[in-house]
Amino acid sequence: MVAGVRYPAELTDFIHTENPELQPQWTIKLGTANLQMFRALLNGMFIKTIELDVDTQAAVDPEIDFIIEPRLEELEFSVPQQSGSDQFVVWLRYNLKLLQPDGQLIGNWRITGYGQEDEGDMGMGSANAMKDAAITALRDAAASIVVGFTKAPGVEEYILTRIDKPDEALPEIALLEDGVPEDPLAEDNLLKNHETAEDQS
Amino acid sequence: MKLQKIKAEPHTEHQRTGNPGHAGIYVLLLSAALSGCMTTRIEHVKDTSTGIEAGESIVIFASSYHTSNPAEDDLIECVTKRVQSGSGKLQVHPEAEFRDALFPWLEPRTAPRTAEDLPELLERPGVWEQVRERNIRYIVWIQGDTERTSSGGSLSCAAGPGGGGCFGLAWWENLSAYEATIWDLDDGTRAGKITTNVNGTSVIPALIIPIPLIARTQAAACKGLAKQLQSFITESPPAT
Repeated sequence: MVAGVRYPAELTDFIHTENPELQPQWTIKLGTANLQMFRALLNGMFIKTIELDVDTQAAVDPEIDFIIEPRLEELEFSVPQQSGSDQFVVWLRYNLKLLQPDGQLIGNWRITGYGQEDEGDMGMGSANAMKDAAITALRDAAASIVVGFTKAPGVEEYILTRIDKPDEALPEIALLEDGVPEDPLAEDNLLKNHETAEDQS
Repeated sequence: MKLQKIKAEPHTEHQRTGNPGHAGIYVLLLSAALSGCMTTRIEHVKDTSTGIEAGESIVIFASSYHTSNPAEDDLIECVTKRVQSGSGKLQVHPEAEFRDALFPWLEPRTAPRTAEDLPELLERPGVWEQVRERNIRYIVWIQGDTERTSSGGSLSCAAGPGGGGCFGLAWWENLSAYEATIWDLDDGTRAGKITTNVNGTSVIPALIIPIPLIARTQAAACKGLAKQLQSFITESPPAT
């Protein structure tokens, strides 16, 4: 199958800033990480992917079987001081909009990624722990997409009605040829502004 | 599945190393003097015979948080490092590389939960080829943690123009409890498990100067687990 992919700004420029009560402010940038993760993932899942302009409503290329438009709708996190545990936890909520080549909706597929990480020795590595929790959540979302794609809302029905040999068309759940990006957050400067509580006052 | 061998080794741990220089002896004596009291208990249960060929490796993972309490990263790093040293050293393949190579099948959400799920993993397209390419023989999953189980005492310090000092005694007790489950990829079965429990009491007595006597239970658990893991894998004959 050939997938057309649109990467909207909500995904590629995603920044989350939060100032938990009595806690340092966190700014988490996931734009580049999202883009790297989806490129590696979708290139591994389908015969071919073609990136489309965000403003293009329908696929121009006749090769394209369907269009995917992933958005990161929500990020939540908790730090050890909030949860009373020694874990940094990150939740990512994605919506993958699946469309026919003419732009007609096949279905909306909601995916949650979850990651947790120890705060480390004496709680000194909080920035790294938050980053690692975010990486784990990204990988968790990616794993859910690979494993669950054929069961995504409308996907199987759409392929069965549109394609002569659906078994051949459905992507086989196999290992990604290039694996996952080595460090999807390395270029992203994930934690841009980890200020101390004192800095806020 | 028969439990073929059970080995229990309760003992009190005292740090000793061989052949230190003079400075090393002083550091060692000081270190021994300043260590808290610890009790280590290591047990293993062997389900099948083990053994490892030259060139074969193991991979050590923290268990998935979906199924158990995964061991801390520093414990995994410590065991990985120690297993690769000493007379019974084993070759350890980097876990991150192996996890990436088998993506998405070793993520917390998708990893096999028990050894019964292992054949299903090995039958997935490409998985066995990746395992063979890296010559991985065993996967070791480690769960557990280090917790403070109790504490007490009182210690107060004061400082003034003429000097300062502390007086009192504070203590706390830590328990490091870990379990390593070993899967044999050649057989697609569980080879057995090793459990380690290290109980340690740390004390800080202070009469002007506080003297910390720290029981490093996690480090002791790492050492015991790594040593037992080496002998578990290399000592092939199982009890019948």
